[in-house]
Amino acid sequence: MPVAAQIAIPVILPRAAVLWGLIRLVVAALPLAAGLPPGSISPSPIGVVLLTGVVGLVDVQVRGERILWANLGVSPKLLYAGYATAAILGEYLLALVPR
Amino acid sequence: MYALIADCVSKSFGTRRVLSSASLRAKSGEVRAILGRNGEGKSTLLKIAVGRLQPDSGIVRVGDTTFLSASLPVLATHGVFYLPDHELLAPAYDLDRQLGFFERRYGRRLRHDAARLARVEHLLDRLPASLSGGELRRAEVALAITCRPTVLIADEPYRGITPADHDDLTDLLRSMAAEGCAVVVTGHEVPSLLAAADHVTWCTDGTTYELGTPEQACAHETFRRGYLGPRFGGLSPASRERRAGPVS
Repeated sequence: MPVAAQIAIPVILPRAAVLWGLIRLVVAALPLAAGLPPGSISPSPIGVVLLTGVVGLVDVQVRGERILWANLGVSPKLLYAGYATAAILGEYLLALVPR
Repeated sequence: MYALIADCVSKSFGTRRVLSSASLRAKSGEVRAILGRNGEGKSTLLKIAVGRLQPDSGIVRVGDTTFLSASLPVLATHGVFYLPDHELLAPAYDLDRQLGFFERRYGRRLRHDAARLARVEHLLDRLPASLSGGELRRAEVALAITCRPTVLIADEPYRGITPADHDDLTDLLRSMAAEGCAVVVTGHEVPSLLAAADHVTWCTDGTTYELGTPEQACAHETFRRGYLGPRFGGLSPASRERRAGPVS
């Protein structure tokens, strides 16, 4: 693994896992807010992964870390991949849960 | 030998043309000051040079590599370090951790050595929010010292810090240049910038003019009239004292 990724991934993965969890919670709460039965909206796992990546980039911006990562040679693509990877792992684990 | 060249750069924002044909040249072992009024495009030129903005036309060359569409993460791997006009440090991590990122990433200097040189070794366990303006600037320069860049681009580094911190910052910038780094700085703190600079570039009317040494720049009639103003008293003796020395 490139050194830039070795530095970024351990920092990004835990916060990406939290972000993925929050996104999943919001998605689960949406039907309740809309007065629909629970579970009536089931987003595609791919959609959640893509959304986590996008929100992750916003998260980096809000945290004021964009230039720091850029000076470290960490591209937005790599940051996106870090966030998306946590979401993929989360979606995989979620798929294993019996319903 | 120029470590970084941004050549024939033009940039418009909507209908407003900020740069029409500007150039930035960063020479190894030299501090270059880019001076100009607000809104003349200094920061835009610097952002284009480090890949934070894409020009409408023009090229960026770092060493022997030419970039038509540069980005900071790529340029950083070619030895470019960008010190922006607002905080560089991430608010969530202490200084030690952030220096550690650069130490591990580039492996060119130990973080404790960089902290000692920037006189921030007593601040390693502090978060950026708890640092004063001058401490914050020294901490940011410590990041640059850790990664030993070939080019340091600093946008308004003297802004918002005390005169005593100006001297410290000048010493750090000159020390980095003495190590072979090409340093480019902008700002409006003319005495400090001229004290730090080997070469002055004037950014005005969308283009740039190479004025030469600070002494030559101060003697340039149009520059005096257009930027320095009639009351500018010239270089002070103190500003000519350059306390350069290798950082390591």
